Amino acid sequence: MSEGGDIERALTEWLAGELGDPSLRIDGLKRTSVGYSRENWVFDAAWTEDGEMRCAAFIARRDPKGSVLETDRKIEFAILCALQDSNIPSPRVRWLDADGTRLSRPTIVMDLEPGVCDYMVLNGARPLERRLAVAHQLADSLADIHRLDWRATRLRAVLEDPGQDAATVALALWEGELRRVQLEPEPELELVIAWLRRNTPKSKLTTLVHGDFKPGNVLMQGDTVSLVLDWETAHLGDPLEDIGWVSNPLRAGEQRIAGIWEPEHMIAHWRDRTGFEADPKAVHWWTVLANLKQAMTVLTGARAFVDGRFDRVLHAPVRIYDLLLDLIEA
Amino acid sequence: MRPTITEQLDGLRRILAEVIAPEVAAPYPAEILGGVIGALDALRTNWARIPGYLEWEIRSIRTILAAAKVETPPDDPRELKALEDLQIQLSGLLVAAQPAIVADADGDAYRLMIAFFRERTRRYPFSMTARPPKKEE
Repeated sequence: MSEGGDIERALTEWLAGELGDPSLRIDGLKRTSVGYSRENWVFDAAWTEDGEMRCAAFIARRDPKGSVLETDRKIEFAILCALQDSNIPSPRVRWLDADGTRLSRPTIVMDLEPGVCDYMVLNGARPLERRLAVAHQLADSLADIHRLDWRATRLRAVLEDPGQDAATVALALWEGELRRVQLEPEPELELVIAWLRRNTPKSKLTTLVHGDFKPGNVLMQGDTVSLVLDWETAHLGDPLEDIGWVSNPLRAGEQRIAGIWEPEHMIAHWRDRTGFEADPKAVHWWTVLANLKQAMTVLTGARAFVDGRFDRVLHAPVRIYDLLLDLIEA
Repeated sequence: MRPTITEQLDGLRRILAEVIAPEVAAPYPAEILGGVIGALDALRTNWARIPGYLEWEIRSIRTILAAAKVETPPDDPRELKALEDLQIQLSGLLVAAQPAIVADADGDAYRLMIAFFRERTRRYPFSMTARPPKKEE
Protein backbone atom coordinates (compact mmCIF):
# COMPACT_ATOMS: atom_id res chain seq x y z
CA MET A 1 0.00 0.00 0.00
CA SER A 2 1.42 3.37 -1.00
CA GLU A 3 1.19 6.58 1.01
CA GLY A 4 -1.73 8.99 0.79
CA GLY A 5 -4.44 7.93 -1.68
CA ASP A 6 -4.47 4.22 -0.88
CA ILE A 7 -4.52 4.89 2.84
CA GLU A 8 -7.39 7.34 2.43
CA ARG A 9 -9.40 4.75 0.47
CA ALA A 10 -8.66 1.98 2.97
CA LEU A 11 -9.45 4.18 5.97
CA THR A 12 -12.72 5.33 4.38
CA GLU A 13 -13.81 1.74 3.76
CA TRP A 14 -12.79 0.66 7.28
CA LEU A 15 -14.52 3.51 9.13
CA ALA A 16 -17.61 3.32 6.91
CA GLY A 17 -18.01 -0.27 8.09
CA GLU A 18 -17.35 0.57 11.74
CA LEU A 19 -19.73 3.54 11.78
CA GLY A 20 -22.37 1.95 9.56
CA ASP A 21 -22.41 4.66 6.90
CA PRO A 22 -21.28 3.66 3.38
CA SER A 23 -21.15 7.35 2.40
CA LEU A 24 -18.66 8.28 5.17
CA ARG A 25 -16.13 10.84 3.93
CA ILE A 26 -12.54 11.50 5.00
CA ASP A 27 -10.88 14.91 4.60
CA GLY A 28 -7.47 16.43 5.25
CA LEU A 29 -5.56 13.16 5.65
CA LYS A 30 -1.88 13.81 6.28
CA ARG A 31 1.05 12.06 7.85
CA THR A 32 2.52 14.16 10.63
CA SER A 33 6.25 14.36 11.19
CA VAL A 34 5.84 13.76 14.92
CA GLY A 35 7.12 10.49 16.39
CA TYR A 36 9.97 8.13 15.54
CA SER A 37 8.20 4.89 16.34
CA ARG A 38 4.75 4.91 14.63
CA GLU A 39 3.27 6.49 11.52
CA ASN A 40 0.72 9.07 12.68
CA TRP A 41 -2.02 9.96 10.17
CA VAL A 42 -4.48 12.70 11.15
CA PHE A 43 -7.80 13.27 9.40
CA ASP A 44 -11.42 14.40 9.76
CA ALA A 45 -14.31 12.02 9.15
CA ALA A 46 -17.91 12.99 8.37
CA TRP A 47 -20.75 10.46 8.56
CA THR A 48 -24.46 10.09 9.28
CA GLU A 49 -25.60 8.39 12.46
CA ASP A 50 -29.23 8.07 13.54
CA GLY A 51 -30.17 10.49 10.77
CA GLU A 52 -27.77 13.16 12.03
CA MET A 53 -24.58 14.43 10.41
CA ARG A 54 -21.50 13.81 12.58
CA CYS A 55 -17.95 15.01 12.17
CA ALA A 56 -14.86 14.15 14.22
CA ALA A 57 -11.08 14.35 14.04
CA PHE A 58 -9.12 11.11 14.37
CA ILE A 59 -5.54 9.89 14.40
CA ALA A 60 -4.50 6.54 12.93
CA ARG A 61 -1.30 5.15 14.43
CA ARG A 62 0.07 2.61 11.99
CA ASP A 63 3.12 0.38 12.43
CA PRO A 64 5.90 1.59 10.14
CA LYS A 65 8.01 -0.80 8.08
CA GLY A 66 10.79 -0.12 10.58
CA SER A 67 11.36 2.19 13.51
CA VAL A 68 13.30 2.75 16.71
CA LEU A 69 10.91 0.54 18.64
CA GLU A 70 8.98 -2.63 17.87
CA THR A 71 5.83 -3.01 19.92
CA ASP A 72 2.43 -4.70 19.64
CA ARG A 73 -0.66 -2.66 18.67
CA LYS A 74 -2.98 -5.34 20.16
CA ILE A 75 -1.47 -4.78 23.60
CA GLU A 76 -1.46 -0.99 23.27
CA PHE A 77 -5.13 -1.10 22.26
CA ALA A 78 -6.03 -3.36 25.20
CA ILE A 79 -4.19 -1.07 27.64
CA LEU A 80 -5.93 2.03 26.30
CA CYS A 81 -9.32 0.28 26.49
CA ALA A 82 -8.63 -0.67 30.10
CA LEU A 83 -7.63 2.91 30.95
CA GLN A 84 -10.92 4.35 29.65
CA ASP A 85 -12.58 3.54 32.98
CA SER A 86 -9.73 4.93 35.10
CA ASN A 87 -8.81 8.41 36.38
CA ILE A 88 -5.75 8.46 34.08
CA PRO A 89 -6.33 10.86 31.18
CA SER A 90 -5.55 8.74 28.12
CA PRO A 91 -6.53 8.86 24.44
CA ARG A 92 -9.95 7.46 23.54
CA VAL A 93 -9.34 4.50 21.25
CA ARG A 94 -11.89 3.59 18.59
CA TRP A 95 -10.78 0.72 16.38
CA LEU A 96 -7.95 -1.77 16.00
CA ASP A 97 -6.64 -3.41 12.82
CA ALA A 98 -4.50 -5.96 14.66
CA ASP A 99 -3.16 -7.92 11.70
CA GLY A 100 -2.98 -5.20 9.06
CA THR A 101 -6.01 -6.42 7.09
CA ARG A 102 -7.23 -2.86 6.64
CA LEU A 103 -4.09 -0.74 6.18
CA SER A 104 -1.53 -3.46 5.36
CA ARG A 105 0.13 -2.98 8.75
CA PRO A 106 -1.33 -3.05 12.29
CA THR A 107 -3.11 0.22 13.10
CA ILE A 108 -5.07 1.83 15.92
CA VAL A 109 -7.55 4.64 15.29
CA MET A 110 -8.20 7.00 18.18
CA ASP A 111 -9.81 10.38 18.73
CA LEU A 112 -7.55 13.30 17.89
CA GLU A 113 -7.57 15.17 21.18
CA PRO A 114 -7.08 18.91 21.59
CA GLY A 115 -3.90 20.15 23.21
CA VAL A 116 -0.28 20.98 22.60
CA CYS A 117 2.68 18.62 22.82
CA ASP A 118 5.69 20.59 24.11
CA TYR A 119 8.62 18.39 25.08
CA MET A 120 10.45 21.39 26.59
CA VAL A 121 7.49 22.61 28.63
CA LEU A 122 9.48 22.45 31.89
CA ASN A 123 12.18 24.73 30.50
CA GLY A 124 10.17 26.87 28.09
CA ALA A 125 8.90 30.45 28.23
CA ARG A 126 6.47 30.10 31.17
CA PRO A 127 7.44 31.76 34.45
CA LEU A 128 9.19 29.47 36.91
CA GLU A 129 6.25 28.93 39.29
CA ARG A 130 3.98 27.85 36.41
CA ARG A 131 6.63 25.46 35.10
CA LEU A 132 7.01 23.96 38.57
CA ALA A 133 3.23 23.54 38.76
CA VAL A 134 3.34 21.64 35.44
CA ALA A 135 6.16 19.46 36.83
CA HIS A 136 3.96 18.63 39.83
CA GLN A 137 1.07 17.69 37.53
CA LEU A 138 3.36 15.45 35.52
CA ALA A 139 4.55 13.74 38.70
CA ASP A 140 0.93 13.38 39.86
CA SER A 141 -0.02 11.75 36.56
CA LEU A 142 2.85 9.30 36.84
CA ALA A 143 1.95 8.53 40.46
CA ASP A 144 -1.68 7.95 39.43
CA ILE A 145 -0.53 5.44 36.80
CA HIS A 146 1.32 3.59 39.54
CA ARG A 147 -1.62 3.81 41.95
CA LEU A 148 -4.03 2.32 39.45
CA ASP A 149 -5.61 -0.85 40.81
CA TRP A 150 -4.68 -2.83 37.70
CA ARG A 151 -5.95 -6.08 39.19
CA ALA A 152 -9.45 -4.61 39.08
CA THR A 153 -9.16 -3.75 35.36
CA ARG A 154 -8.99 -5.67 32.10
CA LEU A 155 -5.20 -5.21 32.16
CA ARG A 156 -4.96 -8.41 34.13
CA ALA A 157 -6.10 -10.37 31.08
CA VAL A 158 -3.55 -8.92 28.64
CA LEU A 159 -0.42 -8.17 30.66
CA GLU A 160 1.81 -10.54 32.56
CA ASP A 161 2.80 -9.77 36.15
CA PRO A 162 6.56 -10.36 36.47
CA GLY A 163 6.27 -10.20 40.27
CA GLN A 164 9.50 -9.57 42.13
CA ASP A 165 11.52 -10.49 39.01
CA ALA A 166 10.51 -7.36 37.06
CA ALA A 167 14.14 -6.24 36.74
CA THR A 168 15.30 -9.66 35.51
CA VAL A 169 12.48 -9.77 32.96
CA ALA A 170 13.20 -6.21 31.75
CA LEU A 171 16.92 -6.93 31.38
CA ALA A 172 16.21 -10.13 29.43
CA LEU A 173 13.86 -8.21 27.15
CA TRP A 174 16.40 -5.49 26.29
CA GLU A 175 19.32 -7.87 26.02
CA GLY A 176 17.17 -9.89 23.61
CA GLU A 177 16.54 -6.74 21.61
CA LEU A 178 20.30 -6.11 21.42
CA ARG A 179 20.94 -9.64 20.11
CA ARG A 180 18.14 -9.21 17.56
CA VAL A 181 19.19 -5.88 16.07
CA GLN A 182 22.92 -5.34 16.62
CA LEU A 183 24.91 -4.70 13.44
CA GLU A 184 28.28 -5.20 15.10
CA PRO A 185 29.76 -6.23 18.48
CA GLU A 186 28.91 -3.70 21.21
CA PRO A 187 31.61 -4.09 23.90
CA GLU A 188 30.42 -1.10 25.98
CA LEU A 189 26.87 -2.46 26.18
CA GLU A 190 28.15 -5.95 27.04
CA LEU A 191 30.00 -4.42 30.01
CA VAL A 192 26.81 -2.62 31.08
CA ILE A 193 24.65 -5.73 30.72
CA ALA A 194 27.10 -7.72 32.85
CA TRP A 195 26.88 -4.97 35.52
CA LEU A 196 23.06 -4.99 35.37
CA ARG A 197 23.07 -8.77 35.75
CA ARG A 198 25.34 -8.62 38.81
CA ASN A 199 23.22 -5.95 40.51
CA THR A 200 19.62 -6.90 39.62
CA PRO A 201 17.19 -5.77 42.35
CA LYS A 202 14.04 -7.59 43.46
CA SER A 203 10.79 -5.67 43.07
CA LYS A 204 8.65 -4.83 46.06
CA LEU A 205 5.42 -4.34 44.13
CA THR A 206 3.87 -4.60 40.67
CA THR A 207 2.14 -1.64 39.06
CA LEU A 208 1.28 -0.43 35.61
CA VAL A 209 4.47 1.09 34.16
CA HIS A 210 4.18 3.67 31.36
CA GLY A 211 7.66 2.96 30.01
CA ASP A 212 8.26 6.30 28.24
CA PHE A 213 6.87 8.97 30.55
CA LYS A 214 8.12 12.45 29.63
CA PRO A 215 6.83 15.96 28.93
CA GLY A 216 6.91 15.17 25.20
CA ASN A 217 4.38 12.38 25.76
CA VAL A 218 1.60 14.46 27.27
CA LEU A 219 -0.82 17.00 25.82
CA MET A 220 -1.18 20.39 27.50
CA GLN A 221 -4.24 22.64 27.44
CA GLY A 222 -3.00 25.94 28.80
CA ASP A 223 -1.05 25.04 31.92
CA THR A 224 -2.96 21.80 32.46
CA VAL A 225 -1.69 18.33 31.62
CA SER A 226 -4.78 17.04 29.83
CA LEU A 227 -3.70 13.68 28.38
CA VAL A 228 -0.96 11.09 28.75
CA LEU A 229 0.10 9.75 25.33
CA ASP A 230 2.24 6.99 23.83
CA TRP A 231 1.35 3.88 25.77
CA GLU A 232 3.10 1.52 23.37
CA THR A 233 5.73 0.38 25.89
CA ALA A 234 3.36 0.22 28.88
CA HIS A 235 3.49 -3.02 30.85
CA LEU A 236 3.23 -4.43 34.35
CA GLY A 237 6.42 -4.13 36.34
CA ASP A 238 8.30 -2.21 38.99
CA PRO A 239 7.19 1.45 39.27
CA LEU A 240 10.83 2.34 39.88
CA GLU A 241 11.37 1.66 36.17
CA ASP A 242 9.44 4.88 35.44
CA ILE A 243 11.26 6.70 38.26
CA GLY A 244 14.62 5.68 36.78
CA TRP A 245 13.35 6.89 33.39
CA VAL A 246 12.21 10.36 34.52
CA SER A 247 15.31 10.94 36.66
CA ASN A 248 17.70 9.89 33.88
CA PRO A 249 20.50 12.51 33.56
CA LEU A 250 20.43 12.01 29.78
CA ARG A 251 16.99 13.66 29.62
CA ALA A 252 17.67 16.32 32.28
CA GLY A 253 16.89 19.12 29.81
CA GLU A 254 13.34 17.84 29.39
CA GLN A 255 12.56 16.29 32.75
CA ARG A 256 14.20 18.63 35.28
CA ILE A 257 14.12 22.29 36.31
CA ALA A 258 17.61 23.11 37.54
CA GLY A 259 17.76 23.44 41.31
CA ILE A 260 14.05 23.05 42.06
CA TRP A 261 12.87 19.95 40.20
CA GLU A 262 15.71 17.49 40.46
CA PRO A 263 15.42 13.70 40.94
CA GLU A 264 15.22 14.06 44.74
CA HIS A 265 12.21 16.40 44.36
CA MET A 266 10.53 14.07 41.86
CA ILE A 267 11.00 11.05 44.11
CA ALA A 268 9.78 12.89 47.24
CA HIS A 269 6.67 14.10 45.37
CA TRP A 270 6.00 10.63 44.01
CA ARG A 271 6.51 9.04 47.44
CA ASP A 272 4.05 11.47 49.04
CA ARG A 273 1.36 10.79 46.45
CA THR A 274 1.76 7.02 46.20
CA GLY A 275 2.94 6.06 49.67
CA PHE A 276 5.50 3.77 47.95
CA GLU A 277 9.19 3.65 48.83
CA ALA A 278 12.02 4.24 46.35
CA ASP A 279 15.19 2.36 47.29
CA PRO A 280 18.02 4.56 45.91
CA LYS A 281 20.09 1.55 44.76
CA ALA A 282 17.12 0.15 42.85
CA VAL A 283 16.34 3.56 41.29
CA HIS A 284 19.98 3.75 40.18
CA TRP A 285 19.73 0.28 38.60
CA TRP A 286 16.62 1.35 36.68
CA THR A 287 18.40 4.55 35.56
CA VAL A 288 21.17 2.41 34.09
CA LEU A 289 18.53 0.26 32.37
CA ALA A 290 16.82 3.45 31.10
CA ASN A 291 20.01 4.35 29.26
CA LEU A 292 20.39 0.84 27.89
CA LYS A 293 16.83 1.24 26.53
CA GLN A 294 17.74 4.64 25.05
CA ALA A 295 20.79 3.12 23.37
CA MET A 296 18.67 0.23 22.10
CA THR A 297 16.17 2.53 20.40
CA VAL A 298 19.06 4.07 18.44
CA LEU A 299 20.51 0.66 17.50
CA THR A 300 17.03 -0.57 16.50
CA GLY A 301 16.64 2.46 14.24
CA ALA A 302 20.13 1.92 12.77
CA ARG A 303 19.29 -1.71 11.97
CA ALA A 304 15.97 -0.70 10.36
CA PHE A 305 17.79 1.96 8.29
CA VAL A 306 20.35 -0.56 7.02
CA ASP A 307 17.51 -2.99 6.23
CA GLY A 308 15.74 -0.26 4.20
CA ARG A 309 12.79 0.00 6.61
CA PHE A 310 13.47 3.35 8.31
CA ASP A 311 13.97 6.79 6.79
CA ARG A 312 16.51 8.30 9.20
CA VAL A 313 20.25 7.62 9.52
CA LEU A 314 21.27 6.80 13.09
CA HIS A 315 24.82 6.19 14.32
CA ALA A 316 26.22 4.44 17.40
CA PRO A 317 25.04 6.35 20.50
CA VAL A 318 28.56 6.67 21.93
CA ARG A 319 27.59 9.57 24.22
CA ILE A 320 25.01 7.32 25.89
CA TYR A 321 27.74 4.67 26.25
CA ASP A 322 29.92 7.26 27.99
CA LEU A 323 27.10 8.15 30.40
CA LEU A 324 26.50 4.45 31.05
CA LEU A 325 30.18 4.02 31.97
CA ASP A 326 29.82 6.92 34.42
CA LEU A 327 26.71 5.35 35.93
CA ILE A 328 28.31 1.94 36.47
CA GLU A 329 31.50 3.69 37.67
CA ALA A 330 33.71 1.92 35.15
CA MET B 1 40.12 12.68 -9.39
CA ARG B 2 37.58 15.51 -9.78
CA PRO B 3 34.97 15.99 -8.65
CA THR B 4 36.41 14.58 -5.45
CA ILE B 5 34.25 12.63 -3.01
CA THR B 6 33.86 15.77 -0.91
CA GLU B 7 32.88 17.80 -3.98
CA GLN B 8 30.32 15.18 -5.02
CA LEU B 9 28.76 15.02 -1.58
CA ASP B 10 28.74 18.80 -1.42
CA GLY B 11 27.04 19.05 -4.82
CA LEU B 12 24.42 16.40 -4.01
CA ARG B 13 23.63 18.15 -0.76
CA ARG B 14 23.25 21.49 -2.58
CA ILE B 15 20.88 20.00 -5.17
CA LEU B 16 18.66 18.53 -2.48
CA ALA B 17 18.69 21.74 -0.42
CA GLU B 18 18.26 24.25 -3.24
CA VAL B 19 16.37 22.39 -5.98
CA ILE B 20 14.29 19.72 -4.24
CA ALA B 21 13.58 21.00 -0.72
CA PRO B 22 11.71 24.19 -1.73
CA GLU B 23 9.22 22.03 -3.66
CA VAL B 24 8.50 19.63 -0.81
CA ALA B 25 5.54 20.86 1.23
CA ALA B 26 4.16 17.79 3.03
CA PRO B 27 5.48 17.70 6.63
CA TYR B 28 6.81 14.14 6.78
CA PRO B 29 8.77 14.14 3.47
CA ALA B 30 10.08 17.65 4.29
CA GLU B 31 11.39 16.49 7.66
CA ILE B 32 12.96 13.35 6.18
CA LEU B 33 14.59 15.40 3.42
CA GLY B 34 16.05 17.73 6.06
CA GLY B 35 17.56 14.67 7.76
CA VAL B 36 19.02 13.41 4.47
CA ILE B 37 20.65 16.80 3.81
CA GLY B 38 22.04 16.80 7.35
CA ALA B 39 23.41 13.28 6.90
CA LEU B 40 25.12 14.28 3.63
CA ASP B 41 26.63 17.24 5.48
CA ALA B 42 28.00 14.91 8.16
CA LEU B 43 29.39 12.52 5.52
CA ARG B 44 31.05 15.36 3.59
CA THR B 45 32.69 16.64 6.76
CA ASN B 46 33.79 13.30 8.20
CA TRP B 47 34.28 10.67 5.50
CA ALA B 48 38.02 11.35 5.11
CA ARG B 49 38.59 10.70 8.83
CA ILE B 50 37.03 7.23 8.78
CA PRO B 51 40.09 5.14 7.70
CA GLY B 52 42.26 6.84 10.34
CA TYR B 53 39.57 6.30 12.95
CA LEU B 54 39.27 2.58 12.12
CA GLU B 55 43.07 2.19 12.25
CA TRP B 56 43.07 3.78 15.70
CA GLU B 57 40.31 1.40 16.91
CA ILE B 58 42.19 -1.60 15.53
CA ARG B 59 45.46 -0.53 17.19
CA SER B 60 43.70 0.13 20.51
CA ILE B 61 41.86 -3.18 20.63
CA ARG B 62 45.03 -5.05 19.68
CA THR B 63 46.78 -3.42 22.66
CA ILE B 64 43.96 -4.38 25.05
CA LEU B 65 43.85 -7.96 23.79
CA ALA B 66 47.64 -8.25 24.01
CA ALA B 67 47.42 -7.16 27.67
CA ALA B 68 44.72 -9.83 28.13
CA LYS B 69 46.97 -12.38 26.40
CA VAL B 70 44.49 -12.94 23.56
CA GLU B 71 45.93 -13.61 20.11
CA THR B 72 44.78 -11.38 17.26
CA PRO B 73 44.96 -11.78 13.48
CA PRO B 74 48.21 -10.38 12.05
CA ASP B 75 46.63 -8.49 9.10
CA ASP B 76 47.38 -4.83 8.62
CA PRO B 77 44.95 -3.83 5.86
CA ARG B 78 44.94 -0.54 3.96
CA GLU B 79 41.72 -0.90 1.97
CA LEU B 80 38.58 0.51 3.66
CA LYS B 81 36.38 -2.60 3.50
CA ALA B 82 39.17 -4.74 4.99
CA LEU B 83 39.63 -2.17 7.78
CA GLU B 84 35.89 -2.30 8.54
CA ASP B 85 35.93 -6.11 8.63
CA LEU B 86 39.00 -6.28 10.88
CA GLN B 87 37.58 -3.71 13.29
CA ILE B 88 34.39 -5.80 13.66
CA GLN B 89 36.41 -9.00 14.08
CA LEU B 90 38.56 -7.45 16.82
CA SER B 91 35.51 -5.95 18.59
CA GLY B 92 34.07 -9.46 18.68
CA LEU B 93 37.29 -10.79 20.21
CA LEU B 94 37.13 -8.00 22.81
CA VAL B 95 33.55 -8.97 23.74
CA ALA B 96 34.60 -12.62 24.06
CA ALA B 97 37.57 -11.69 26.27
CA GLN B 98 35.56 -9.26 28.41
CA PRO B 99 34.54 -11.62 31.26
CA ALA B 100 38.22 -12.44 31.92
CA ILE B 101 39.25 -8.79 31.56
CA VAL B 102 36.51 -7.64 34.00
CA ALA B 103 37.44 -10.39 36.48
CA ASP B 104 40.82 -8.66 36.87
CA ALA B 105 39.55 -5.10 37.37
CA ASP B 106 42.98 -3.96 38.64
CA GLY B 107 44.77 -5.33 35.58
CA ASP B 108 46.20 -3.44 32.60
CA ALA B 109 43.70 -4.91 30.14
CA TYR B 110 40.73 -3.54 32.12
CA ARG B 111 42.32 -0.10 32.48
CA LEU B 112 43.16 -0.01 28.76
CA MET B 113 39.65 -1.16 27.79
CA ILE B 114 37.89 1.57 29.80
CA ALA B 115 40.33 4.20 28.49
CA PHE B 116 39.58 2.97 24.95
CA PHE B 117 35.81 3.24 25.50
CA ARG B 118 36.18 6.79 26.83
CA GLU B 119 38.47 7.86 23.99
CA ARG B 120 36.12 6.26 21.45
CA THR B 121 33.36 8.66 22.50
CA ARG B 122 35.67 11.59 21.83
CA ARG B 123 36.93 10.31 18.47
CA TYR B 124 33.77 8.78 16.97
CA PRO B 125 33.33 10.48 13.57
CA PHE B 126 29.53 10.77 13.60
CA SER B 127 26.95 12.07 16.02
CA MET B 128 23.95 9.87 16.79
CA THR B 129 21.53 11.76 14.53
CA ALA B 130 22.30 14.07 11.65
CA ARG B 131 20.95 17.57 12.17
CA PRO B 132 18.89 19.05 9.33
CA PRO B 133 20.11 22.45 8.10
CA LYS B 134 18.77 25.51 9.91
CA LYS B 135 15.87 27.13 8.09
CA GLU B 136 16.64 30.53 6.68
CA GLU B 137 14.24 33.32 7.70
